[in-house]
Amino acid sequence: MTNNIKTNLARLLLLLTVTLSTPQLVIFDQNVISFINVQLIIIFVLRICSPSTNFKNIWFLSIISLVNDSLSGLTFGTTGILYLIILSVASFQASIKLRSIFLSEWIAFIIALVLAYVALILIRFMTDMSFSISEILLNYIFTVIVYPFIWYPLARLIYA
Amino acid sequence: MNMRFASSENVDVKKKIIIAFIFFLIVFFIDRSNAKYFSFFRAFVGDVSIYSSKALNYPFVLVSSAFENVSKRFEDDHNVTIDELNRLQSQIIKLENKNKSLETRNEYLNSIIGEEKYDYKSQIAKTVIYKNNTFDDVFSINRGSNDGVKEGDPIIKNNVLIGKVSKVNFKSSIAILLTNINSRVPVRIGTKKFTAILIGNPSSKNNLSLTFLPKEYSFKSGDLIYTSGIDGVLPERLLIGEIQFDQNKEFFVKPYYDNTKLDLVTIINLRAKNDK
Repeated sequence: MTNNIKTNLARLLLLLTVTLSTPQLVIFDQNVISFINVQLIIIFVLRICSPSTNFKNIWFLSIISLVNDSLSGLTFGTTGILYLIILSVASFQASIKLRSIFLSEWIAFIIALVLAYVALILIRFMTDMSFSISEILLNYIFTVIVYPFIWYPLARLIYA
Repeated sequence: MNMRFASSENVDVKKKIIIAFIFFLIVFFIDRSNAKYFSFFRAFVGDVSIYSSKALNYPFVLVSSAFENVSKRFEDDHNVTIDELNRLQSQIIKLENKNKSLETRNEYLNSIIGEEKYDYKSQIAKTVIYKNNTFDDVFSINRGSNDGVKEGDPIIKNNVLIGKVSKVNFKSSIAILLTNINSRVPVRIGTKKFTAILIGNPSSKNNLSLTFLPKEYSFKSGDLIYTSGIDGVLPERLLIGEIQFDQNKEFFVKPYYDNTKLDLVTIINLRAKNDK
């Protein structure tokens, strides 16, 4: 796959996850999709798989984060800070790795997600927005569990 | 030592990330301070985002509705069209809820002397995008400050309160559902009119729970929940849902609206009264 296609594919994927309405997959009276932070997984996986092409220019992430803030009614900058935390860890991991090892990437993602959610809790405190620790924990666990299922097809696509 | 770590490309990315981080922090603090000049920018970005997302959503909506129509055609062979059936179903729900609402209003009016205090103007809005995640349960609508929408305006669907406007752009707005964790609505419950605050609580059944209930409260199944209006923001007697009991005989709130059917909603304009 050419670099140009990779770059645009990464952008398109992120754009769709931000702009499309949340799909409904109700299990036990809960929309399971709402517990998975797909955007953060996509940024991390695509960045780590191909750091020379994906999200190299921060401008796209910046614009899309403002779009997400607008659509979710969040204070501007909230999503951007989370994206950058994930991107920083992914860039660092990509710079020190010699070859792709799923487990080490997954652990790096778990750490990145902890940092991102700590930042999110701080932001929520500062903007007087309510949050539930148990819900954030649930979201964290689901996102970590789903990571391999998104990593596998994306990595295959990028490395193809 | 890894040579790539110190490469000019990585240093360049690092620089970009730091600059972007500083930029977002500045934007965050400006937006948080509610600066007037920034609200214009915010509203503009909001409108562009919502209408661009609407355009991007359009093909997906078309495909999903086409699938829905095809599957429905296979399911039944009634003489009425699918659209007509949907309209009738919606009308039945609307009338049922209206009936409940009128019953509540009637009970209330019986208990006091005087006429109905007010009747607000309303306008129909179309839901553009529905965002549901752990942190936010919000949807965007195609009406904004240019249409007279203001922050805090209640939103109803089939005569049932479903949420309120939280952010207003020029031609669009963001609304939070009652199930949003930041939603707080003062309510009355049942014929005994117990007061409480209905909050969005993702840990509760139907993502709704009641707090600040009086010690002596007692509910029976089917007790109606409606706005009390004591906050001076939301009007009184807007129907929300009812009390139900689970197998352990614990009560829970059952809202009268369905999250998956928020295509058209009604915004109540709290500042304009209906001329009769």
